[in-house]
Amino acid sequence: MNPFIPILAARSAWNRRLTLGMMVLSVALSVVLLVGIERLRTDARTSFAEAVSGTDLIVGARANPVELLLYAVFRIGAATNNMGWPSYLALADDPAVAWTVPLSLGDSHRGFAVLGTTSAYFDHFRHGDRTPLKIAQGKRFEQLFDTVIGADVATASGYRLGDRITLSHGAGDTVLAEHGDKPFTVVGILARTGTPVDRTVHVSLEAIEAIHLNWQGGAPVPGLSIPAEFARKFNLTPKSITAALVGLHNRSDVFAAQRRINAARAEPLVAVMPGVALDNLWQMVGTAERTMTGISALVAAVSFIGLVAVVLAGLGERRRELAVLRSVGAAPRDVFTLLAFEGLLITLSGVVLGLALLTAAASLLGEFVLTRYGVVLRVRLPDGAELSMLLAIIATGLAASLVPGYRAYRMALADGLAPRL
Amino acid sequence: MSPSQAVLIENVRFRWKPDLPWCLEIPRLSLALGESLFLHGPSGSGKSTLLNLIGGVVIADQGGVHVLGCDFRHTRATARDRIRADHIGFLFQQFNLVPYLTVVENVLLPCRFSKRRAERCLLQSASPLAEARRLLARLDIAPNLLQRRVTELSIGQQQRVAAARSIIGAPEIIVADEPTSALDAGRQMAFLELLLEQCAQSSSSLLFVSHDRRLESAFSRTLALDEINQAHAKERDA
Repeated sequence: MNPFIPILAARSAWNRRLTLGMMVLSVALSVVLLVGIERLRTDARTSFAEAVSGTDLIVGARANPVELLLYAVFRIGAATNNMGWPSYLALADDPAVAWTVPLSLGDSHRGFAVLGTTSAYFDHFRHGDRTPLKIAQGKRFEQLFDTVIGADVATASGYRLGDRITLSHGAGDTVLAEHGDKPFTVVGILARTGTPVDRTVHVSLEAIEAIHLNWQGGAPVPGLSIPAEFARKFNLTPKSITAALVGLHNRSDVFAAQRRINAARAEPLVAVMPGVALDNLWQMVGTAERTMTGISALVAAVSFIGLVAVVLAGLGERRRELAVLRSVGAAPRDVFTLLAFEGLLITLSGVVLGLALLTAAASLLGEFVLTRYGVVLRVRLPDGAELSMLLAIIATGLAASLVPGYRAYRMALADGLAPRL
Repeated sequence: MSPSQAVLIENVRFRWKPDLPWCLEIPRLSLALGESLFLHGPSGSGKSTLLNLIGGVVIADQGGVHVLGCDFRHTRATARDRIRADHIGFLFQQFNLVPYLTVVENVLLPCRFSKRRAERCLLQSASPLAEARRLLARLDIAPNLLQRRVTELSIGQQQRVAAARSIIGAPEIIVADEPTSALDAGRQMAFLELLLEQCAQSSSSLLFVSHDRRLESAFSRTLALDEINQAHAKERDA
């Protein structure tokens, strides 16, 4: 190829920058859609898969397993029914069970979920590749109104050790009232995990009971006030919890344990294997994912048809330019290369702009998506399936560019040195 | 073919499609090396077709088109493209400058497609760029215009830029297709003198096609295309 052709293509494209800029934007948006959906899909799967590990079963009141998993681990969706405390104790006594961690959800603090649990949570909860929780500053909760907050809670609110916070009754859009009479002291801040733990305020199970002492049926009892210092005098054993994380002595017992729990007569319970529930979740959303990918591919196809149409439409106006190039020695193949190179230039610019838009979107919307959907959007270079997708886009762009390239080639042959305009 | 001839056309017949009548039938037309030939003829006499034949963009259906000793009927398209790039400079009525390139970039265009013409610039100047500057200066294009887009220039200036482009790298043949028709009478002669002077300096043959016979006195020979093109004569008689 004549080394001047790319320069000429770039100069010619710059001369028509407004029209071609629109085409670059169109290709870029296709890249954003195609790669963005793929990235969202893999990021969502990674985020969910890394959120909990080393837990053999999640047990709760009988509900849809996926709903229980989403609410108990990811704080997403509607609250499920509670399971009774006696059932939890019975579960903990099961000979196959090595450890249990109770989870009590339902309250919040400035949009962050409040989790009532025990010290066992810090011992047994694992995320990512079986990584235990690490307290970056301070210590676990010991006193009734101590709290250990996740990394994002500390960052977003600027909390430090010793700060006092109050919790709200309800979560998300259904915050009802403040538990303002019983403030908590931040005694620990967890190291970042990249999971919902970062956005959680951890308190003891007893504290959850304590802040609801003067509440009944989801509302404060009028005229009844129990000051924080007296709360300890009450029996703070929980009556129910949201769910329990369960670790077994032997993983091979998981199916037997699951069957036993599901068949419990005292209370209808459901035991969920996190991996299986996640698979079910991906199966449920798989059709939607495929539909979205299909729509994105169609958008990309429309972009490239537009690219061909725009370049072809411009060819009529460029007949004299192509004839000039022929007269100064350009061969028809040079004219073909010029047009094909122009299409490739538009495609490559679109891909680069698309990736830049994706990076900007991940940076700008990352916090929102993380808080709202529990998905960590990672700013990264394309890899694996994304690279294949980008290569497919570039190949399609190149293939699309061959159409105007061939048309220009034919035109250059027919027009010769003096096109009849 | 005599080595002293730049172009020799013998018994050429050409038509654009097999079902169309001949548009060009020329028994003989020659252009000697270093000669300046004025070829005149009305619209439709086959001037553009003749230029395409000499440029090797189309090939004759019958007869021979020899350019610098090369028979185009038996030469591959890529080789014809190379001969055109290396040995022929074109100068058009519409100037045909590339609007998005600067003045100097337009002049350098032939050197981008022909290594030979780039090398031949070194006979006169230190580099093709220096040669482009020299030619433009000789054609009265001010140095401050060199980096401007050609569209910012006047018609007369554009025509001189097109002339510089056709003669850069001293091609053996310069084909000029009504290059003065956009200029007023005073500028026509001045431009023509410049062009002839440059052709003489580089020993280029000049085939000057025009319908304006006031210019023919400046040339060493004159031919009427409508007279030598028998296809046109037949059409006229019919």
